[in-house]
Amino acid sequence: MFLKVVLLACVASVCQAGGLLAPAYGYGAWNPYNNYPAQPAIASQHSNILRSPFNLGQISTYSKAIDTPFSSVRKSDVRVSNPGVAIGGFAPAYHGLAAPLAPAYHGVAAPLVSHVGVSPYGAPVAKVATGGLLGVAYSAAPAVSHMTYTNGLGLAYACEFVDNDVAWVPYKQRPEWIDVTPVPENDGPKPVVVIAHSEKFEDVYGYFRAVLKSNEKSERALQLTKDAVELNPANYTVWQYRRDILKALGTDLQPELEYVESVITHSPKNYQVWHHRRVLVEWLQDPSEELDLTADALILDPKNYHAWQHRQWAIKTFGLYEHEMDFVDNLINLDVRNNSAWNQRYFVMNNHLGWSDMNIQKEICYTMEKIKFVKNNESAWNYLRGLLLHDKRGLSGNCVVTGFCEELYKNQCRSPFLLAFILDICDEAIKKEEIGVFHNPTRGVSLCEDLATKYDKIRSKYWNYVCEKFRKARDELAAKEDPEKVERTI
Amino acid sequence: MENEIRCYANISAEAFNTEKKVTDTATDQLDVEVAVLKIFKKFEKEASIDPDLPLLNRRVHSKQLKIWLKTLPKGYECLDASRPWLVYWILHSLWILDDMPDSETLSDAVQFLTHCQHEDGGYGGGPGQHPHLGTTYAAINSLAIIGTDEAYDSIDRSSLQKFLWTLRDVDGSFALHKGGEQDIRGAYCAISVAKMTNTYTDLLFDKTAEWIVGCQTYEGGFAGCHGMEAHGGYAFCGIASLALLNRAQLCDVEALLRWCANRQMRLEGGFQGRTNKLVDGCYSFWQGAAFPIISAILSQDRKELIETVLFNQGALQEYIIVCCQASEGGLVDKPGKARDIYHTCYTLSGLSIAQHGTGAGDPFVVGSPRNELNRVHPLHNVAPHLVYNAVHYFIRHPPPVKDKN
Repeated sequence: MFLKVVLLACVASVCQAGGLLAPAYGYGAWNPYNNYPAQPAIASQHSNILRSPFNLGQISTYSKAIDTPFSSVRKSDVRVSNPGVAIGGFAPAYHGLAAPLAPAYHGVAAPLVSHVGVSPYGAPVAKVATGGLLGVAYSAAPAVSHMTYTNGLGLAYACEFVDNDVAWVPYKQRPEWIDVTPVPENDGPKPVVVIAHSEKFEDVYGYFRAVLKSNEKSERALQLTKDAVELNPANYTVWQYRRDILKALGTDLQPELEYVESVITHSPKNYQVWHHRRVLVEWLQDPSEELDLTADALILDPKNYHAWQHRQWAIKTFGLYEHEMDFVDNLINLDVRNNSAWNQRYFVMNNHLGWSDMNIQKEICYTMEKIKFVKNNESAWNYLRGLLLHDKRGLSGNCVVTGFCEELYKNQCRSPFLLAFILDICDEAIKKEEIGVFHNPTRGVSLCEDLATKYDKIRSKYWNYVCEKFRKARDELAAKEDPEKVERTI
Repeated sequence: MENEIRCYANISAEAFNTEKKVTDTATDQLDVEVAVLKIFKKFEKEASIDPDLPLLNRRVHSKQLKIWLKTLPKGYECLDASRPWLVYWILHSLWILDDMPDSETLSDAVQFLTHCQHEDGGYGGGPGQHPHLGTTYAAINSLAIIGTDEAYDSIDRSSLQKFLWTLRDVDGSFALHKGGEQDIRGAYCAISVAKMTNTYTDLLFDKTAEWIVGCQTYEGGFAGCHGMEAHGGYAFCGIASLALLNRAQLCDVEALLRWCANRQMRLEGGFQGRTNKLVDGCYSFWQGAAFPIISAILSQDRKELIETVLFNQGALQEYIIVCCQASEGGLVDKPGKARDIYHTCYTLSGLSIAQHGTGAGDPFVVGSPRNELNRVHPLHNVAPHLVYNAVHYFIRHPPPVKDKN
């Protein structure tokens, strides 16, 4: 496998990105060190993950700040923008600029989005570190590895603090907000679970509560929601109010799409951001970016539930099935154990290609190949069982499948998923009263016992429970038939 | 016998077999196994000289939880829109540990939740925030745990019911908030809340069971919405909802059981949330609680009581107690992860399920007998008698307005 590293440090998009998180207009911060040579240093680095269910709060983020006397890079995203190249690593592009005055609130330099090309054919994305900015070694690993964990109700969240923005001007000091009185949080006299907010958080949310209360829908309120969202991207009230403002002002939604894309890149496991994206696409009735957007997220984390859900929604709503099977094939080739990709395969078959006899045969062949490749892969076995739900011959009536299983068994394969599958074939044969040499209650009992005591001990209680029904069937059969004949079928 | 404690040699024999096909899934799994085995090995050494092991550090967890109930560090800013959740996770954890705060603190919690209650009904993530089904569920559960008349009476049930109506879609599904996303969590939270507060009506949940069943996947578990991948958190929402609606026979229970059973990790002993994903302490509850629900459903079908839960209770307890306790209090997802309140609540809830199973018969407690926790109701994740008390209080005190859509 060849690796080709291409770093696309998109300076152009950096400029755009400046507007993403930093307001476009600046309260110039005076930089007393503007005559000093650049000496970058990693000032802070965070990759902090907390999680909750349902939550409202799931943001997995990673941040790093690099300060030089002349610049200050506060954020770095690993973004995938083109297929065809593999790597991990990211290159902040905004450095060493001798900017005597910083133009933005959020740190001296605008936040930075660096685009990194990642190949779908390439090596695991996360594991490579490359040299970075001015000799500072950057490792992409933290940025990516946190995304490999999903959770609970899918609600992992992480907190990120970018509180060292020197150029931040509190709302209470901004002349254009002088007409608004901030509304403090009304926690009551003896509140519980009081969060020790930063001053900035208090400031921004004080003004947010004020505009929410007065129902102000204005350009400045729209900017305010951006700051509020940056402090807590899981605040659904802020997002909802932002949508209300967008609607009321009739704002051009194209920049909004770009904005939410940048937030998604930063918080790819957050319910609110993906929902916001979905609403925008619904309003615009334009899904043209959605496959690329979700593909980017899925190359970084091929099991990101939110990304898959958004992708399925776009495909289903706008009929974008055409190339989806290629996308799925590619992901399964990269990691045959990626269950999300198998699920997507089922989604495409079920909603688009259909379960014709020919398609079923094709899928059976495909899946058998993958099982031969890795026999202990539950994803492939589950898919095989799933697709046979649509085969009118069922599990036990398809001799290609039953023959395949018996061949594996004969060749000493004892994958618990194989044994469990044969067990299901036995169960179906019993129900259909098509008991044969291979598939009968006695074999069922012995498979259950093998699973419970040897090949799948952690599930012994479950297998003993399953065994009961085979014992019962065996006894019933024995009572009905000549006991000698039953012996011979073992 | 089936629940017996595993020795190190047996645990390490279950290591992942890559079949010489190393993919990202395999690498991630191997990393976790290395970390877990290291801890189990150290534990076996310690346990050989201390018969009291494994030990749940109840006092340390309680102490930390009580601190969290008052104030939280800045790192929790990202949960500023989930504060009723924080109240619920903490109070429920303390209940499980049998160390509830004093009545004054509980009354403060009621007052605080009242500030989160929205005039349009339901509870927001904090005072002044829009009402949200997740935080409404958390608030109602918290108030049921507190269990005083003050707590019960603080709920405006007629506006609550109106709020539920505003989130309902014609197909029976529920959005999490007005203008918000729609998934199986919405349905579960709405049903749980409506049942608990006696604001449930058949009309409010017309077609909801059918919508939920549409979330069951070919793997047997439930997804967040139709077409998506089976997932532990959503599977719990699915089966608990159907059970609460008394419509569990609509889904394929045997397929669900197989899927749930397969989520227990052969080496770690804890549960993963999806096929070929990693173990995580919080699924101890989401997956674990599905088992007593399934046993109850199967018992109904077969007309004979299944008194046990069909997973390895001992292995789950070991994983939680040995691998998931943070020394300074609180519990974690997996070794190497930072503790947090969410994982503290759901690993403890899962530990309780692992000890008590269906609730029939004696508890099976791994390690010191002092590890025994209070029981939880698998459908609401609140103590069974506290669910009962709340439900009956609200039956005795019907809401002023009944189902005015």
